[in-house]
Amino acid sequence: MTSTASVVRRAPSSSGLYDVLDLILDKGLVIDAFVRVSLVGIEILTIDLRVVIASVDTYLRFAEAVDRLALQDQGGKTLPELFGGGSNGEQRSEGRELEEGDEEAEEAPKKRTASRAKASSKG
Amino acid sequence: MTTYVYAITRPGTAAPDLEGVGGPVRVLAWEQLAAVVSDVDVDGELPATARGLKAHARVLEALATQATVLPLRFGTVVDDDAAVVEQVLRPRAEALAALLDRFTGLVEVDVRVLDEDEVLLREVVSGDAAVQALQRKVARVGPTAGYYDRIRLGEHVAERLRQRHAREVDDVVAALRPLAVDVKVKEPSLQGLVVDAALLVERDRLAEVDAAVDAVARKRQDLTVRYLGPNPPYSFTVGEV
Repeated sequence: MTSTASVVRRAPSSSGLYDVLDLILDKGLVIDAFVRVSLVGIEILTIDLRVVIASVDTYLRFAEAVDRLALQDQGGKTLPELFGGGSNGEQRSEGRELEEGDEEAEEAPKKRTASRAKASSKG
Repeated sequence: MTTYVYAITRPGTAAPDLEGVGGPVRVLAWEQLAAVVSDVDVDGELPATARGLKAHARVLEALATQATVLPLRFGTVVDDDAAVVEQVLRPRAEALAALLDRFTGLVEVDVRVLDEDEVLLREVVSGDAAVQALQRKVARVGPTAGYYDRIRLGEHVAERLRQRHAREVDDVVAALRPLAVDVKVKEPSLQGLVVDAALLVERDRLAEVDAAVDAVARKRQDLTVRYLGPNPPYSFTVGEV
């Protein structure tokens, strides 16, 4: 996955597990009683952003992210200490991990956020 | 031994020489229809392994480059080859033929825009006076006293970011829609994923679509664009038939 090249080329979808999951998991025609698949360990790989967004935890994470950006913008001289060395390593999105996670789907499923309930505290 | 069914196509489609979900991939023709199948040993449920999912996707990809295919849901398994005809093809022959006509010459390509470096978050924060005011307040009072202010700051940023993402989706769709027969915008299912769109396009116009996607990517080089395909019309064949 290169982000530097300006030219984007069409890639086969079967290369990354996340791409495949996103493409085929709940797509395609259903022939009534004949879908016989156990999705244990797979469906929990996909994280529902809508769920994640509307929670106090998420708001606090966003607040932290804003703090972090502010610190970076101040020059970044003493940053490595604040982040326990390497201000970059910890900011990787989960998306990237999944993208490269590949064959580990069954062994190390991510936990799906427990409930779809919307945030209870507003304002 | 059971039979795994990948897709419905027309007779004459060549079986891709690939390792499928089970055994070798075969094409089973019946009247005006054909099913793409493999022998597979399934007792009860087929586990959804990464290998199986990828094998399924690879077979369908290979088919989509050469033929009109209707992808079936991953994990479609029937008792044997006879059941493919009697339980899958024959009972819905008309509906399947109509769908094959509808998708003739069409393929799906998928465009995903990822914000891996929080570029859009930066834009939201730096362009919003209210965020900056809240941020200064939070920084002044410290984490404990500022707990609710931090929540408010985060909530505000989350909402702004959502709006910012929606704008990005609109831009990408506006740029690509003129080239597509149909467009499906999917709800991003992953953090950092901003745009997740499926385009149904004519196979003969792929070069034009390539150029348009490239133009989108050139416009926002600080974001990552993933461009996949040609695929069978996965996102446009959802539901029972």
